[in-house]
Amino acid sequence: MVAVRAPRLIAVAAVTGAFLLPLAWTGLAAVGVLPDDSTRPPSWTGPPTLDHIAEIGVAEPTFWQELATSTVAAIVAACLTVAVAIPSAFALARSRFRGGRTVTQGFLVLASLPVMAYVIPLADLSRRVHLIDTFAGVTLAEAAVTAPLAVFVLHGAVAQLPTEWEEAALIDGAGVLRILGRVVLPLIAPSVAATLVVMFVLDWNMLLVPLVLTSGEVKTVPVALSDFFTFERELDWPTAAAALMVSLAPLAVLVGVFHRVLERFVLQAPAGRDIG
Amino acid sequence: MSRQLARALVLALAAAVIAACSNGTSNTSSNNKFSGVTVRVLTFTGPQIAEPLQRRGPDFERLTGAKIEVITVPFSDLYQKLLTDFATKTNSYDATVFDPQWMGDYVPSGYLEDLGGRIQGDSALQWSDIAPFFRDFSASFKGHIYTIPLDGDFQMVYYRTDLLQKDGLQPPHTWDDYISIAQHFQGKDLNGDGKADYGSCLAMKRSAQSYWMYSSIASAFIQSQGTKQGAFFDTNNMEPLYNNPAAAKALGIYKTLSKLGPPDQLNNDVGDSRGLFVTGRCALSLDWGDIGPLAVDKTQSKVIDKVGAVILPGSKQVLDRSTMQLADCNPTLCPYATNGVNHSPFAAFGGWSGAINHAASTKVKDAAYAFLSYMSQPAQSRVDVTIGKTGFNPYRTSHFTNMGPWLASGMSQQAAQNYLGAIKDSLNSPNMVLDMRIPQTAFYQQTAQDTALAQFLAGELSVNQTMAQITAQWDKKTDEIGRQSQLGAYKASLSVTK
Amino acid sequence: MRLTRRDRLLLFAPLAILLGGWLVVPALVGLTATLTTYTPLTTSVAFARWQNYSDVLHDPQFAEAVRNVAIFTLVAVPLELALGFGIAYLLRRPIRGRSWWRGLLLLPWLVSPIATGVMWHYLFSGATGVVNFVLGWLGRPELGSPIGDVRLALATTIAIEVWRVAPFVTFLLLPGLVAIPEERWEQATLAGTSWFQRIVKVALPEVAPLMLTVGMLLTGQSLGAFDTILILTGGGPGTATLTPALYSYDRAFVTNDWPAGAASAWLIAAGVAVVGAAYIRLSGRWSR
Repeated sequence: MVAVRAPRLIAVAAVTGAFLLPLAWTGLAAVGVLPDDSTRPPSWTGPPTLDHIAEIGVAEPTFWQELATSTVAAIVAACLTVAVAIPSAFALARSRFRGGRTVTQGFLVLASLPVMAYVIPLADLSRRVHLIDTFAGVTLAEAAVTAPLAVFVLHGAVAQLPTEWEEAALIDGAGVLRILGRVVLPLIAPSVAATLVVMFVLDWNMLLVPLVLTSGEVKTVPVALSDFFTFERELDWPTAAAALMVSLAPLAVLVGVFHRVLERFVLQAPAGRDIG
Repeated sequence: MSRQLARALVLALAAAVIAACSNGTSNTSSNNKFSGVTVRVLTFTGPQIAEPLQRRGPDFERLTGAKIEVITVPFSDLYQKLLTDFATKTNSYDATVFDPQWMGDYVPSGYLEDLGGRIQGDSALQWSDIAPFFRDFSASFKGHIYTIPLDGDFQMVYYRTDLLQKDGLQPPHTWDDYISIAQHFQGKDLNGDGKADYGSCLAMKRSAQSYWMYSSIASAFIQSQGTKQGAFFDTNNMEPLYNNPAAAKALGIYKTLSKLGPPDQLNNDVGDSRGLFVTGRCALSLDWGDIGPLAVDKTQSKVIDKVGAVILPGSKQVLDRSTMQLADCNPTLCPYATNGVNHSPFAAFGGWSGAINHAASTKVKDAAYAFLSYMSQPAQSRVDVTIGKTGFNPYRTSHFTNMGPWLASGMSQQAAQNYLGAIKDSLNSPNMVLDMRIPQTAFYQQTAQDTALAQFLAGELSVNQTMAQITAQWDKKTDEIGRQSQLGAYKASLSVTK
Repeated sequence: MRLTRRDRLLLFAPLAILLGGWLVVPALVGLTATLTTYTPLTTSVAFARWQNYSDVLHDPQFAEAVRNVAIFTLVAVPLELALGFGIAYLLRRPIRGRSWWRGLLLLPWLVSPIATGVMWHYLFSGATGVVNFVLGWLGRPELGSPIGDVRLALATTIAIEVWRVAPFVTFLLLPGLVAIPEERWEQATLAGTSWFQRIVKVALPEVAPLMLTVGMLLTGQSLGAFDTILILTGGGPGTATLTPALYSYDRAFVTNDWPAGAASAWLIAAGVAVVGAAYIRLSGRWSR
């Protein structure tokens, strides 16, 4: 078996390298190491510099503020999603009714629904209830977009748990919320953490919701990036690359820190049959 | 680039200080006139346009006490967000620096404040210093003034002086000249890197600026009798002017140019074409005034002092409106022709302009007006128009006569004269073409015209199909909204009174 | 344990409020509105039946968009699944630092779709691109960006999407592959089956339900393809990369044709609903 392992490691490294090459190229550009194709063969220009990262703030004066907005909005939205998804996932896993499995799968279908499908009337309704261009409006809408996926994943986590502890707590006279909080939640904590991280990533990268539901007051990084490149952009590549790397960094750090926990993000296909 | 910008800012600041000293009397007396007033100005995400507003806001606050809050949204959403804000009476913005093309939607509904009275009593603005086209057409709708121009937008042709001189070529006077120069240089190495370069670089990407580029070409063949003649619709019956031999000729030129540029030109927007031109990869380009300052930006330009600008190329044949055929220019057909060539410089987009929400309170409107006036006053604007990052291009006579800021920005005397000369030629032309400004202009241009052009360039539509598709969609929209009301709006935008 | 009706109400209420208010109600209000002449700016509204839908369905641009997104989905989703599965298969048995490799491989998916568009725009373009750098090394003349070529544009957007999404598929499939009991592999190895047979006979049957679920997610997202293409091509050249989502956005927010935008967006939802129904049927059959 040992003999097989080395080639596999090489294969994994090669595949990873191929997928990361574009990002490496971008990372080099962000620190000012650029291809110079006026020489033959092409060479690289300049020593590494952090100038381009400083320049983001010149090209887009509110970039750092947008970064902060993105962070807070994604944290709030991810927490909201998970907070709402946990009780539902629990209820779904512990309810036995006809078509229960179909309901769970329905959540996955809902999770697959592109935001574009309903964001146009959502923008209009938000305006009518004065939630347009507010932090609450954006985070609630983002939370709603990602909630079905969170329900599906957490449902899988709860469904795997044996029910004995819950039964025991029930006999001890604990209420349903207490059981959820004291018994179920600690058991599914790793899955909850993994879900939180993935939801954060999804919220952080979301474009359409903040684009359509805001008009200047609440601005996230993807919206700012989209604007640079859809109108008379004069932003040069190293600065764009720097902005890109800076907006990727928090996610990379997050995934790096939680890489073990993330293994608990499992799309559990609902097993078994409907129980009538 | 940060160093470049920092230097420009220092220069701007120095100029502002000088200006403040020379205008000292008027400033001190008006101190804190608007203290406690906050003006919310909506514009698009910068750095252009928003940058000078944000930079000068605090100065203005020190002078008057009014706090300027600049709110930015993506350009693609600006039109819709303003319209929704006005129409639903949300009125969260007191003023806007916007695309004056949208006046066609906003003015007839009464959303914008008539600025005529305020301008009359404002000597510091030096209204008559603003070029006639921007005063009489761009800022006006049906004879009333609704905007203060902050940016002189029209398209010009840029060429490489070093290349043309070396090969004994003249800058293009007509579109035929333009094509033959592009052909001459296509595939040659133009910047000494050993790689084949391009004759002409244009923005032809879908959902970008392509439709303006085409109109810049077509206008030379369509409008010859002055701005009021109009280059989009017949002012008698609102019939589109984009389905006739003149429009077909322009489509042919556009298609030819799509092959005299980089191989991926169909996906280039102005950001790409500017990048290519200033790195020395193109002999010619068609653009707004932006290339001028970019070409002297030491951090990215490889063509410093090698760039010339000319008024948009013209044509010796124009559309005769009585026969709807192309006819040779003569003094009656082309009264403004020079050497038999009709030039129709196209004020594409029309230049970022400031307007005020009619529904704001009087005090806020006064403060908003004072701020827009301040931005446009020569002391401020003559510096801003020399900085590439502001996105502001010259629009005042004093912007040409006062060379100081241009030389300070890094242009050589000759380059500045050449660049400003082309701008002056265009600005002084009585045959300048006003961009479309009628209700739902966005549909006419961005949806109907842009899509058809993209399909034409990609080979999905023939010349005749392209013209038929544009006209059919325009006519359908016109009839849907009401032909008479659209005609009225079109004539109002051109200040045609009869 | 058995939940009472009251318990269920209590537990579902927060989700019901969130999804109801921000997803279901807007979607249904949108559906109702598209059957009328409603726009956010008009005051009088009349019943219009299927007129808005008929207009959209008769627009050749929308037909092109549907064709493009069908190709996009049919090519991208299987590729993403196949590539994602292949990499997950490589990682299925413990190798040194597996969870680190897994994290590193996830990086392309962490780049937002919008930034992906920005990045590839530059990577393909002459002066800054990786492609022409390599060609320059080889002494070959440079190539234009494939996104500017009518014939290659759609294929290029598909390739970029696969680059971004395949690592995410690996991330989702790996737990399923790791969970396959070791005996199953050993049995197969002892029986002398080739690696290909092991994939077909051991791995695929085990992860098939999971792959179906992942496939559903990917299909839905492909049908709504928007961010990356908005930046890369704006739908061009010609109509080569136009998608229904771009079409809807353009109509609703750029050219102020709200009914057409909302109606075409609802057609995207209809497409997802059809695929979703097929998914629920298929996965029901699988688990029986």
